[in-house]
Amino acid sequence: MKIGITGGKGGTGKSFVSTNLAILLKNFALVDLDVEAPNDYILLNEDLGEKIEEYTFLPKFDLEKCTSCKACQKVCQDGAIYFKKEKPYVFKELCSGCKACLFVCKFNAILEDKKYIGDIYINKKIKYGFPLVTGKLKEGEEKGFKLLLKTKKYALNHFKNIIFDTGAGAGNLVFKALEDLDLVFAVTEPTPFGKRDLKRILDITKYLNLKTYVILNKSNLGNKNLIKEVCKKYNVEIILEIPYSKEILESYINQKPYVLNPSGKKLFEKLINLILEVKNANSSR
Amino acid sequence: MQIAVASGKGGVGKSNFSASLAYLLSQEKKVIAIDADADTPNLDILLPYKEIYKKLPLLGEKVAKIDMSKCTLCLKCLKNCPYEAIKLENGKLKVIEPICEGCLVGKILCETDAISFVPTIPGYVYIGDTIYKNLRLIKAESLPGRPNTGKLVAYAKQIAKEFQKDVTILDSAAGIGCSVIASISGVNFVILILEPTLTSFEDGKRLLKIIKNFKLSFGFVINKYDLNKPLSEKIKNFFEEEKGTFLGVLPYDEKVIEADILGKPPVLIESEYKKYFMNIYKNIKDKVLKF
Ligand code: SF4
Ligand code: SF4
Ligand code: SF4
Repeated sequence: MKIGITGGKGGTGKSFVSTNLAILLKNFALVDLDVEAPNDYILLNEDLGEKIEEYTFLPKFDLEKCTSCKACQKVCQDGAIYFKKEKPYVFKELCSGCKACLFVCKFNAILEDKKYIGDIYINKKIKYGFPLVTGKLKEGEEKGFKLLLKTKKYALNHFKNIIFDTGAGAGNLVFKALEDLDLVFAVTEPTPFGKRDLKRILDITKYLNLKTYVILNKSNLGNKNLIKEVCKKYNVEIILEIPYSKEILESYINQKPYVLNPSGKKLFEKLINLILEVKNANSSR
Repeated sequence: MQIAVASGKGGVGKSNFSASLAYLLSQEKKVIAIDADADTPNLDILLPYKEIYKKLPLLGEKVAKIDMSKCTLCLKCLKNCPYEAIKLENGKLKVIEPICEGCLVGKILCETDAISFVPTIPGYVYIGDTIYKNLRLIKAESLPGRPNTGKLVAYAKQIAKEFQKDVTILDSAAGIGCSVIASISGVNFVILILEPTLTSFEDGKRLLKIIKNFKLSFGFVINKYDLNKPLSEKIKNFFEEEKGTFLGVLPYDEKVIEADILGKPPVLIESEYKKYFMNIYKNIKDKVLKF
C-alpha cells in the first residue's frame, strides 16, 4: 500500500504527519520526496544513512566525428547546446539530461557523460523500527524532477508499504510524487492560503483519480469554514483535525515525535484505522 | 532596487512579510510586488487587486500528441520519455499532459511519425493595481501540476521591468528549485526568512549556498523567534558569520492569522508583530535601501 502526504502550502505539517504516521504504522517505509527541502530525518532526529549518488545524462561531444550539422542544438529545448568555431559544447547547468541530442545525432558524435544531481539516502532501520529513504537535490540544481523519479522508483523497488512525503507547492514534482498512490492525505490549515493551495492539490488528485482525505492542522487557529467549503466542493472528507498546542510545539522543538505521547497516539488513531481498512480492502481485492 | 524574499522551508511567513514590507514601502515610494511563488501564489490574498488590467499567457510551450492510427505500439517513446509523461492505458498511449515538457525525444525516436505537438499554456501573469496606492501587483500563476515555473517567474520579472517603480519586492516560492532560482537571480538583495526550528535552519542553509553561488548580498529575519530563543540565537550567529545582515526578529502572534483571514498585511493590525516589524522596516531602509 502506498500513501501520499501532501498539502500545497508549505509549513502546514506534512512532515509532522508523515513522521508520526510512520511511527505508528511501523511496517511502512517513510520516503521523503521533498527533494528541495527534505526534513523528515531532522524531525526524527536520525541520520540520513547510506548515500547513493545520482546522475543524469550529459552529452559529451566527439569533435572529430561531429560534422557540425547542428541537429543537436535544434532539438535541445533547454538551450543547453552552443557552438564555438562550429563545434558543439554544452552548458552543464541548463542541460536537463533528456537525451534528445543523443538520439538525433546521426554521426555518433555524442557520447554519454553524466551530471551529478543529488543523492538518495537510505537509513535501513531507524530507532522507531522502519526504513527512511530521502531524496536530496544538490544545491544549485534547478530541476528536482529526475531525482524525485529516481527516489520514488528506488522505494517502489524495495518496499511494499510506503508513506511518501511530498514537497510544498502543486507543480510537477508533487504531481509525479502522488501518481498511482492508493491513498492521499492533504494537510492544510484554516487560512485563506491553506484554502487556495488545497484547491490546487485537489485539482491534481482529481486529475489522477486518487482517493483523497484532508487533514486540518492548527484547526483551532483561523477559520475552519474556509476549508469546509473546499472539501464540500471537491467532495472530500476532513478525516482529522489537529489543534495547535504547546505539547505539539514542544514535541517539534525537542525532536520527540508527538505520537510518543498518549494524547498524540489517541489523536492519530482514526487515521491509522482508516489506513488499515483501505489496506485490507486492497489486499483482498 | 529589487529585493527577493525567500526561505527554503515553506510556511515560515514569507507572504506575510512580503505583503507587510511592500505595503509600508508603498507609503513612501512607488512599489511593485511580484508573486513569484507560481505554484501556489497567495500574495493577492493580503494585497487584494483593485483592478487586474492584464492577464498574459506564457506562450511558446507545447505538449505531445500521439496519433494512434499511426502508432505501432513500439513503446520507444514511452520507455525513453525523460519525464515519464507517456502511459499505456487499455492498449493505447496517453500523454499525461500536465507534466509533458514538450521535449523532442519521443518524436525523434518514433519511426512512424505518430507524434506531433500542440501549443499549451502553462500559466499566466496577472498585472494590476492593488487597493493600496502606489502598489502594483504582478502575479505569476502556473496551472496545477505544470513544470518549469521558473520560466513563468522570469516572464513576470521581465514584465515588471516595463513599469516605473522605485522598489520591487519578490515573494519567492519554498524550496531551492528553478522557481526560486529564477526569483533571486539578478536581484540586489535577498531577505531570508527563518524560524527557530531545525528544519527551517537546515533549509535556510541550503538556500544560502545558492545565494552565495550567485554572489548576492543578503539579510535575514527570524520569525516567531520567541518559540525557541536559544535556537534563534544560534541561527542568528550562524547567518551573521556567513555575512548576512541581521534585520531583526518577529514574535509569534496570533494576530497575524487574524490579518490573513481579513486579507490584510499584518502590519495593518495593531499587534506585537507590527511593533517588531517597524524596527525591521527601519533597518531595511537604513541598511539596504539607504533612503
Ligand atoms: S547532431 Fe551530432 S554531428 Fe550534428 S552538430 Fe550535433 S554533435 Fe555534431
Ligand atoms: S540532453 Fe537534452 S537538455 Fe541536455 S543538451 Fe541534450 S537535448 Fe539539451
Ligand atoms: S514511438 Fe511512435 S510508434 Fe512507438 S509507441 Fe511511441 S508513438 Fe507509437
